[in-house]
Amino acid sequence: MISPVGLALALVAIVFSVDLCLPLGVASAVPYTFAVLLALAARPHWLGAAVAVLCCVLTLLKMMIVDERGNTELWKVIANRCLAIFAISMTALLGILRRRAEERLRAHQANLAHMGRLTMLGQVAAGLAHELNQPLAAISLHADLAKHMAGQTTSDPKLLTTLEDIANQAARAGEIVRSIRRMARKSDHRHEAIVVNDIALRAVRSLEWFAWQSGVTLQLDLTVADSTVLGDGTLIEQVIFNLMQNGIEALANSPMIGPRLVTLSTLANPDTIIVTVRDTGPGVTMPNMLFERFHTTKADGLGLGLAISRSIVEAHGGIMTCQPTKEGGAVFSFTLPLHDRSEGK
Amino acid sequence: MTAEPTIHVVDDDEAVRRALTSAGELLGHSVRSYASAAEFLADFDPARSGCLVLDIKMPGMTGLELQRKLADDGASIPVIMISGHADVRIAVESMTLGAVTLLEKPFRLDELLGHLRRALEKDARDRQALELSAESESRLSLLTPKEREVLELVATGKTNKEMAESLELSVRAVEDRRARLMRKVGATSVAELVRLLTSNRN
Repeated sequence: MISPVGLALALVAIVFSVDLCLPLGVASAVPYTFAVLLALAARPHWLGAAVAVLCCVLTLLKMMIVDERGNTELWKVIANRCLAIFAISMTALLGILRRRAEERLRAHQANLAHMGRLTMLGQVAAGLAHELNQPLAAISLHADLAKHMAGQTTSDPKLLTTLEDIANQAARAGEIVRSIRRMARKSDHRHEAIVVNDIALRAVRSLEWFAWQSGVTLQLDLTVADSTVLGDGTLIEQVIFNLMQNGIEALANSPMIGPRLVTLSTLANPDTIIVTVRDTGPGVTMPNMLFERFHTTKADGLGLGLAISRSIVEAHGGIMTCQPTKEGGAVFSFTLPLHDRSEGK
Repeated sequence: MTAEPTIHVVDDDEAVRRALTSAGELLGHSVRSYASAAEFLADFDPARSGCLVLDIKMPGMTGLELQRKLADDGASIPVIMISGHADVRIAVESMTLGAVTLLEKPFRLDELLGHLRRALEKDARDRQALELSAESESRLSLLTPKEREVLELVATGKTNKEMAESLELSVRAVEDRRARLMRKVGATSVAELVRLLTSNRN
């Protein structure tokens, strides 16, 4: 495959030769912009800028090498060339800016996904810890009891050590589960003042495309201005993202007619901020199972989204609830302890 | 009133419950086991001595909620909490509610037996103190206010002469009053009198 830079340079060469042969003024420099656009896709990043500079130089060079036909005044020639250079550099500038924004977004999403995986590991470990420690406790106790009983009726040392081994190994398994949990917990959270509305807007921006695709309208009602909470912005954003994504998915999969809305609102209480996500979908069945790990109603779901969201909220000292609504649809809300009321960033 | 103590076991996991029951029986006490907090509450008699082994995470009422309810009801039964995965917050809350200890599953038999023994001893001690204070209360209630006054002074270590001065009575009258109150509460020495007074105040 030809690299974008190779393609761009070939284009530059063609445009330059055409430019030399034809007296086209601004028009002959326009194809240079395509070369710049091509080069912008290349790695490393400075190649785009380099090709843009090359194009500008060549544009000027043409003016020096070939005299324009006598009937064009010099100032027009120069103005034409300047316009061409302007077009080329603006193309390069806009391209670079856009590229930067894309990279930031991508890095942000990668970070979100990474945090999501870590939190998920923590949840799986916590679930495993609970499920495994029950039978392990029973094994360990029963083995100890058996050893005790055997000690009264027999003095077979082999039997006693075997039973002792069982109990020891059960304890060891418990220790392994515990260490996995500790490890998962170590990835623990940053702690800084975060502006809830900014976080909410970030989550909304990441979902705009998905909502549009699903024919869902996102509504915002952010009333807490610049109030802050203490915690990890990435995690809180993930909670809002999860809740809104659930709402959009519920609407996308529902054949219902009527308004298709997902509303995100923030509200300040005396000492908490309440974040609410409301959708006009079919609502929830089995509300008491909602937050359980590995409970899901989605065909390809893991059943961890809400469990993770709730544990994130609780780790921040808040609570998460799901209330039914009269109009149908689901309302999820969570609270976060207020750190600083609307005091700017 | 202090019959044989009973060990109560509340855990929703049947295998663990059975193991805990056998462990409790090893100590030679009767063990009652329940699969839920509600079952336990239906059967629980605060007057009966014993201790409680309680799982934190259960469907329905959780171990912490049960512990809080018992504390609210003023039941002083010692509680050994057990947990599949205790996080710090739960542990702290449980201990502030007065749990004797919190054991993280899996734990060893010896650990459990040690804590059970201590919990039962604590319950016996608590109940004895309670009984003592009830008894001293009833005995001290026989005294007249004036005798009570003398009693307080005796407890602070005053001599008859000093008491006579501060009460503006003759030494003879003080001696009389003192002998009467000793007879009434059934004390034979000042030491016994003071013990009675302190156990009542606790």
